[in-house]
Amino acid sequence: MKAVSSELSDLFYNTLLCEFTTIGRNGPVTTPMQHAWIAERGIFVLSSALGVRFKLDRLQHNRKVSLSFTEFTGSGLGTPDAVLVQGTAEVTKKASGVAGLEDFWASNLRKKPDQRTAAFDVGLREDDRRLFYLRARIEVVPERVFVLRGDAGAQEIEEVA
Amino acid sequence: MSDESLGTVVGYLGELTGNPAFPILSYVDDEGYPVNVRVRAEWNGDVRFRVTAPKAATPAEGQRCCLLWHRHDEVLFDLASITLFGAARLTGDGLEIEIDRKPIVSNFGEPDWEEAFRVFAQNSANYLRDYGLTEPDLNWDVLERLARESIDRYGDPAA
Repeated sequence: MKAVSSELSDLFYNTLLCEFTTIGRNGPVTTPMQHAWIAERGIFVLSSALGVRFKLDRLQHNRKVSLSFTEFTGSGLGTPDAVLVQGTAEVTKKASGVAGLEDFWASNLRKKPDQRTAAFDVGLREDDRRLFYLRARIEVVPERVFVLRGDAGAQEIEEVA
Repeated sequence: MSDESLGTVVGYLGELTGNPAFPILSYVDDEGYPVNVRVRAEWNGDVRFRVTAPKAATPAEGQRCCLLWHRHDEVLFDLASITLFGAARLTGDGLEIEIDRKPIVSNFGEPDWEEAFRVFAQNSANYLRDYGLTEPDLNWDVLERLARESIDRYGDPAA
């Protein structure tokens, strides 16, 4: 795959959420997820709480995934063209605290201001809310990147990396 | 799924700000990778959505698909999503998705948080058991360090 352009790299960095698709026995399952774009490695880091484990189970059987970027609220990017990334995912750490996911949490704290306050809330560490921080690390290596130009339902699709 | 429950879910779509008529359609391409594309979709009042998709991103007859609607605000505080699952039906004049599985609905209606936390905790415990793992240290000190760095760089929302 060609390296992504600086414009695409900025889009991946600044977009708050992607639509992440895994493949299960009954087909694709797409959910909005936070991602961290690690530009120097050219990979995405995502993280799933173990309490919503199903995508982690699906990745044990099929590692082909996609991430799309179509919703730019809060990104400061205006209304760029949508982007689709297809790639391969690996659950590189099946269960992790914050250590081992520093890059994901740094991205989360940048994108979600209330999380900066919640980080010091000792109370949530003593009940089931702490389980939000019990997570798995997912790394996605992009293999193909497409830009989708035009109105929904009538886009022109160009492979760009 | 019943028509009634689909009707309830479709009702939630009216609460979406932005573009409720334009979900993300997902299916798997010939090489086995998922394709996500924003489409135009209209509920037919029964169990099907009529979908307008780009020709180059149209699933084949019978292919498994999902449709995702989601919204978020500028600080990721208000988040909501709905995912519907079904099969592609190529009619004489276009594409329809026939919904046939229970939807995933997040943050619509009146969530039962007590039950949600119970299931969340049970799933976490089962996952650790199924993969032969022990619960790791959650490293609150690391979280606090990252949060302090983030506050220094981006500001303190509580200030």
